[in-house]
Amino acid sequence: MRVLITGMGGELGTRVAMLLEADPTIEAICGIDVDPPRRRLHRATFHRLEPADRPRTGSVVQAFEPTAVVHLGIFEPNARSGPSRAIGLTAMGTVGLFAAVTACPTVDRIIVRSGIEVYGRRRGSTVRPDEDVAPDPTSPFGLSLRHVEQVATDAACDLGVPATSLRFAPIVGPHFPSPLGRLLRLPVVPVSLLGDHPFSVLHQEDAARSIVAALAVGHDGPLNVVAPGAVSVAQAARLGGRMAVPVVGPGWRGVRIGSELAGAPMPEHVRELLTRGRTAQGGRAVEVLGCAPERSTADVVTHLYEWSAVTYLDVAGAPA
Amino acid sequence: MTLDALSDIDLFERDRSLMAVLGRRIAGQQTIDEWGLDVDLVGVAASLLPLRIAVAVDGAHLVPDGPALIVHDRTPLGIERTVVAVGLGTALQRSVRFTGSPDLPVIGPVLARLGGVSGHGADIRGLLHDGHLVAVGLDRTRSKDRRTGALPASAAHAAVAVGVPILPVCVRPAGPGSRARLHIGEPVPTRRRRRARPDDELDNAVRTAIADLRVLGRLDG
Repeated sequence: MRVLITGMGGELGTRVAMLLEADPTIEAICGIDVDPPRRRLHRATFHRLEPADRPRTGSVVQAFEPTAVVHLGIFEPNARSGPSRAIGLTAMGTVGLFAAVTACPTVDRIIVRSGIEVYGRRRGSTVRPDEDVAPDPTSPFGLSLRHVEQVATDAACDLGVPATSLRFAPIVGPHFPSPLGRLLRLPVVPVSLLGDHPFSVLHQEDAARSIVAALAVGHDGPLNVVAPGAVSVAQAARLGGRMAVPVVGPGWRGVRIGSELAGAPMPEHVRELLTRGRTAQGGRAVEVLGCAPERSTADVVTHLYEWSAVTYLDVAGAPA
Repeated sequence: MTLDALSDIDLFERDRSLMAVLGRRIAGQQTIDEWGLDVDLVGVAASLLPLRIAVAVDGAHLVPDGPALIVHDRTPLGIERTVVAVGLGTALQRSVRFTGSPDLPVIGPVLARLGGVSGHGADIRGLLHDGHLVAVGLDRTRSKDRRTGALPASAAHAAVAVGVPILPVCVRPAGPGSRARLHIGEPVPTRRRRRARPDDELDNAVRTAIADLRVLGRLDG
């Protein structure tokens, strides 16, 4: 299998590339992203490309002749870039990639990173949607993910190959760039006074393993990948020893400004999670992929607050 | 064992003393499931409600160990949801989810903490798939005479999709000197109805069963 990975410079992309490098059945790995990978990779080749650079993207894809495409070049608002830039980069990268992929007859499967934000949290909507529930996004990030799924599905139809949309719960971890993770790590965490709804998350390692499993299976359709269990926002704050402060109505505007000043900007889909909750049913992914997330939501949130102790090297006293 | 199954055990086995409950909440160690049910709060509510000792249940042995859809009739006072959830939950030592929780600020999340869910088909399907007991009331807006009520279509489709039995339940409210009573009927199977239109067939079977239980309840006095 020859695997093309977009978004290889992110935590998730780098981890997926490392897992694939350890698999001897993978013939070759090629990655593209705006940033270089976070770890040293031995077998994979990497191309630093701007998502808007469609000619170069096309030439890299054509030259590599992939049999599988893993599209992880999804930019979450306020994770690594501002909201509007993130949406733009995601859209440009997706359209450019799949324009090149449709001209590549060697591709036999497509894997796309999506999120449970595509279901939205409109009033009266289902609390814990499964894959049969039609996407109805209610945030810019949800709309962006739905667009990515549509473009990937169209490309897969053109090629006549299966496309797996992995709808991840919010991925958080101590070293994963996530606006939700940053907000939960503030000393004071905002909680909706009108209802402390439950939400589920996913550990980055479980997300990476599910991508590798999806590559092997080649399922056609969406799959929710969600850690078992849920926590409420106030509970998450207490797990980290933080103070939960109730907020209502216009108070959220103040929270948005305050959190941005504190270095943890709150995009629309995170505000929606705090005020309406966000979970999904992940049973089908476990059945289809044959691997279940190992860490529960409570474990992932607890892990979010755990920082390894820093051991400073005695550089001054070290022999020359 | 899944987390959901664990929470069913926790509900009646974990320490429910006020200090233990407060200690878990301060540490963030309380168990909240994906639908918002708070195991500690349900335990406390079940022990405080006077209904706990005021509901008699006939036919509890007919409830399967696994998932089932419980369809109950409606009473004029409209308290049947509480009677079914608390009465059946206490008799079976299991949490019973009840539908009809509105998606409104404050009241929706509070009911969700106690086991309330929306009547959305996907939510009922998910609960049944995870092995829960889900209680739904007959829908009066769907029946022709608007008195007896009809089996909600979303619940019927969910039961057929998951292949779980439907348990008809007749609720007799408490009267002067008498306890509230739940009569549980024989399970209505759904496994062989995958190709049939579930609405009409199941609706007739469930409504007939509840009507029979009502007559039986009157004869019992």
